Amino acid sequence: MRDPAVKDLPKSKLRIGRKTKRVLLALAGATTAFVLGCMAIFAAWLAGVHVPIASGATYLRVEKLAPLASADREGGGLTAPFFILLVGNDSRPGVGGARGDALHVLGVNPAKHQATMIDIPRDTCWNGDKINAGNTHGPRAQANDVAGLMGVPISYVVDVDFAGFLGLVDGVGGVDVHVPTVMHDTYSGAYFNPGLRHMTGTDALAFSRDRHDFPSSDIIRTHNQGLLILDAMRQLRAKMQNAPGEFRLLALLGRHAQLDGIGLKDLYRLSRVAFSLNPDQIQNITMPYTGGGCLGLGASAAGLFADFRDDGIVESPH
Amino acid sequence: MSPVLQPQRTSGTSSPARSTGVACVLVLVLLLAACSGAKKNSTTTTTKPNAKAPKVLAIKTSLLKVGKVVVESAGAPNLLMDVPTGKAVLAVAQKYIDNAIFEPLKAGRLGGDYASLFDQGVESAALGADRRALTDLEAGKVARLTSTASPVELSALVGTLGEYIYVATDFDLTVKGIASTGPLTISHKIELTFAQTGKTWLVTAYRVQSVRHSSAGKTTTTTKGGKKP
Repeated sequence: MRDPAVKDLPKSKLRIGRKTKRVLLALAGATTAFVLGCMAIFAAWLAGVHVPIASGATYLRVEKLAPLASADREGGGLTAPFFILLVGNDSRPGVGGARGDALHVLGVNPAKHQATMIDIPRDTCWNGDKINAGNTHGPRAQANDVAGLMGVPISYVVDVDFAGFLGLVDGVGGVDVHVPTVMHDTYSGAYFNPGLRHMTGTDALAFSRDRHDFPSSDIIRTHNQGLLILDAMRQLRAKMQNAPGEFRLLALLGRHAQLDGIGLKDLYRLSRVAFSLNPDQIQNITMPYTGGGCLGLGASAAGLFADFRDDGIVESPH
Repeated sequence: MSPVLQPQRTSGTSSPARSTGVACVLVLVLLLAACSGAKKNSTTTTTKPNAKAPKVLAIKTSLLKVGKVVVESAGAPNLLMDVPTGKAVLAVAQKYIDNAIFEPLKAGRLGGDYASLFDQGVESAALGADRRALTDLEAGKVARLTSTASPVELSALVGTLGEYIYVATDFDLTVKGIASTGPLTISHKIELTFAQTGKTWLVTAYRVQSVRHSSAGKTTTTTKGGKKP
């Protein structure tokens, strides 16, 4: 039933009353929303949610690992330059001997955060034979020959045969390689156009073996092997940013490579140092040579080796 | 055959009524005082809210739980981590957060076992230059401490003879509280690599990142320590 008092009110007064009621309701709603909003912001702020108007942030990041258990220590940290010989040998079913057909010496200077890789042609003469023959007596014998040639102390060797190389490359999911020139070689099976190509282990092995496409044969091949190593380092670096990635690569090396002078424990430490370097800043230098057949050292080789020897990096023009 | 480590379940089934109740409590807590920014699949250790529930989730400390387990072997394939090793490493990681993070926030000082968690190669850095990032000592004591930890990813490198060479733990930890300057949130990303010395697992390498959000000011500082491994 309608209220008689209301019934008696004039219509204009009734309209004003309703209008006032609506305005008051709107005001009350807005005030409630505002208060609730403020409460929510305050609650969020209390809970530690980042509120830009009243917050600051401090970022801290540290990374450290214990020094090597054995050599190359200086003042409790790994700061002294070190040299690693990377060997690809030709041992495969039907071919014995394990000659060191790919020889690359990586010098790392942790203190300067720099590195240089020098590629040694397999046909380089050493002690009346080609230098790759050293590997038939094992990785350490190969390292001693290369160290004698260059005059650098090679503490560590990582040596892979054909199967090991295939296992390593396939184990990391293949590598993206910058092919520098057209390759069309039936001997190695390298059929590539220039440019970036994703390679399986088989592809990468063919790329690394191709020498018939080049007039200077093994010299260009050796340099190309260096390019492949640096391309692989670029990709592996991204995977080596956490322990699982590091452990995966080390386990692959343990399964597929022959290590000398170092076990997996210290290789973990060395690899963290090596992969902290930017591969774009690692020089890939092929040893200066002279002659053909059994190669001699080029005129600038002695200077290059001396520059390399003192701190693991080449600073002089070459 | 020795038991192998399996990830613990981080969530369980619950009745709809219970879920609704929990949701209501969470909404209430958010409106009143605090909310939790726990990410999906994370585990949170909390005291049970009761009828006289405090206005915030009063958490003493986070208990770490195992998440993903990965074993990389240089020898036999498809190895699994055994339970004693996983538990031993997890216990040291727990000791780390108790001594380096919770004790400073609760008592304003490092836990007594902090230094003994590191091997000699990293101990001086952990106590010196890197302490600022490795511990929350700088934050001082906080009230209403709450924390959330993600499941711990365990990874191991096993040698050709099946021996453990390294075991690493990787997890996120977020702590919140009220510092003297106001609300404080610290987000940690913690990777600790352990090697065994005798029967003890010690931290031999670490990658730690901590981001502190506070109301103390608008200063942003970026520090990177231990560049030279």
